[in-house]
Amino acid sequence: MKKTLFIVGGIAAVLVLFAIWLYLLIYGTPKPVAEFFTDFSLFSNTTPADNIPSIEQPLIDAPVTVDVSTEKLRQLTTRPVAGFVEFKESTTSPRFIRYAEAGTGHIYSINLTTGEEIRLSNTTVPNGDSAVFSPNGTYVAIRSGYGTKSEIVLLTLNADNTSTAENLTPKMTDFVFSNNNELLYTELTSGGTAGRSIAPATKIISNVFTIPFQAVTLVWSTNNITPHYIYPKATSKLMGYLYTIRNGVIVRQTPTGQGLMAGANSNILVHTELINNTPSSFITNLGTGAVSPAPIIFEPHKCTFGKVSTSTMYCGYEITQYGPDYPDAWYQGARSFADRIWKIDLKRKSATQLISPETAVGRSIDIINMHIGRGDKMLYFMNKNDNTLWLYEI
Amino acid sequence: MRLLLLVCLCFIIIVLPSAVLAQFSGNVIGDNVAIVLDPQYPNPGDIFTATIEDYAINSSNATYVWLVNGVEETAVRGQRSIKVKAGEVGVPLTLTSRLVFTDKPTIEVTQVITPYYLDVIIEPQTYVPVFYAGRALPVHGSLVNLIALVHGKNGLIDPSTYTYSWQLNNKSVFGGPKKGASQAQITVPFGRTSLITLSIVDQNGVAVARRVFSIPSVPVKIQFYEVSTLYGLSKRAIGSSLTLTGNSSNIRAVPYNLDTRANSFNLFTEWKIDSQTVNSGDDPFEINLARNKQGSARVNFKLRNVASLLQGDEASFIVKF
Repeated sequence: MKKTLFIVGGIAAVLVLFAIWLYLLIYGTPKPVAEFFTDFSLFSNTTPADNIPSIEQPLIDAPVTVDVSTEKLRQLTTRPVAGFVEFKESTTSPRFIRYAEAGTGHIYSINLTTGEEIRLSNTTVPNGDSAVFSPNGTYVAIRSGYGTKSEIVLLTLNADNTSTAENLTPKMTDFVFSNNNELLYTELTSGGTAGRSIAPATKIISNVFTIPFQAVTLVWSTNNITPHYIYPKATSKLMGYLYTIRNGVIVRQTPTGQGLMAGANSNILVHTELINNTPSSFITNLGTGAVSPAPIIFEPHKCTFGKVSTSTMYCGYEITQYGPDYPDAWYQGARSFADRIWKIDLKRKSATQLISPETAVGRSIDIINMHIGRGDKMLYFMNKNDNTLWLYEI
Repeated sequence: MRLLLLVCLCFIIIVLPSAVLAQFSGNVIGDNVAIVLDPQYPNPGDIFTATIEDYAINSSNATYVWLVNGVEETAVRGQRSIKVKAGEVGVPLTLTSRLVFTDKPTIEVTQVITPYYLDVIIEPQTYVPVFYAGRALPVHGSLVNLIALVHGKNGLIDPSTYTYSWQLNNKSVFGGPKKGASQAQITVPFGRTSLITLSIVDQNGVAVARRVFSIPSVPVKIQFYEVSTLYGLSKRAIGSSLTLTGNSSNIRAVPYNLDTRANSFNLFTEWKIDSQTVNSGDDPFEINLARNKQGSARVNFKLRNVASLLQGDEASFIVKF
């Protein structure tokens, strides 16, 4: 009898403790939460105003001189950058780098010969987060705001260092300028994703393709010769598949796997997938179909193909263990790399280290947005740690 | 002891059949013999194994002869299993196996293999921030969209010509096969993984492809980021500690993989500094840390979706000032 009472009492005590724990878990210290839905108010205070304020300010910045001539590896900005482009008006004129400042959307230009930096745009784009430039240097598309209500502002740069700004109506998820200065972009639809183009001057929109899913990464073709490549956004936990889109037709390519990501030029396809929980990269010759292991781990944000030599690729890459949570942890910013810069011979499948920033300048650089300049002379990239812009002279 | 036995019994009844189903293999019966393929539905260009299964008859004195598209593969004559390369997408390959006897008629079985790519895109309906380049992941109780893409010779095949049978953990999603249902939506059940089975047949009832795969269930993950009033959000997450260099800093908690249906009525949030609850202001996901002396403190953020108690996380970091 006593034993039964003891057991019943014990169970009752456990139930009471469980109920207290459950109450505290659910209600804890109740706190009124403001109205937020789906976006969880994330960045709600950073979304642009209904009408993007094209805050025109007088150009009061005195010219700044950037050190452009001492070392092969150089830091071009101390400001965080949202996007950039190498710009050269003619074959004889000096090289410039134009960039958009993160946060403000101000546009600057650095003369890479003299080092003079001037501000080109008197328009503030609040919470400018990412920017792309047209090849002719006239247009800049800037994402304003970080939340789902973010908008795209199109800046037109005038010759007298003024600019005009206007909101683009499409809700763009990804955008890039083509070689003929049209803005290519994707937009979510009820059936997946639509790829479209918009002419900056006329705002005429054309349909380019449709994709039957939404979580897509695009490797844009900007030349109308090579196809667009698409794959589901990479994660180490889910399968990815690679497709090309040519004339609106989606065609499956062979690479598949968890953590799949890819990049290509007209001759070579490079992709990464997880094999036994370890990322591995492969080089595919698009002419012969031959597949070979790559000497480094390829990540599209960290690599760029040569323009002069199509069998050359330049990458930021750290020799380290990448682990089974790659690329998720890196995308979240929870993991950072101290990259070296490599030249990859895609024919010989060999890699040559060009420089180690840690050794050369004592800085740890987690490379993103790797781009190559005209004539394969310069590499431009950003440091993900602080979004500053860097240059490496090849 | 009884409980242990009950758990073992449940394991045998529920889990083992799932594991066995993942190792399916196909067959075509012909006069008590069959060709078994591994994998059952090879992708275009894949190397697959074809095995003659003739255990129902006495084949001790038989000679095995294999024909691919009507041409004998003399190199594999006499072998019970052979390796074959599947054709290009949508191009049929006819595989014939003959058992040639000396004392009775030859037995022949033929199978036509038309390889298609069948991809299933998994789109969890959970939250990730705009700057995140990866895919959101499923958490328990959240919705997941599944999109099946069948690729033929000329690109994607119109799904309305096929009948789709979706199963989640061996239970039909639509209550049975459904014509044109190339997309399905599921709610992530309990467990670290869920098993999805998709079978597709064409208008003539011929099996086109079948896939069995698992989708994971992950926990909600909070990451902290510094927010600059001028330059915006840092893309580098705060790790275990943050050194306050200025007089103050705004910190944002970002809940990766939280159900997108969560709203103000079912989210519980709480910031604590050194175990003391603090008010964060209007935005429950952001807090301003202001320096008032030298030292350090532990900043803690707790989040729970009270509509789905397994959706939540608690994370902290040390701020040094």
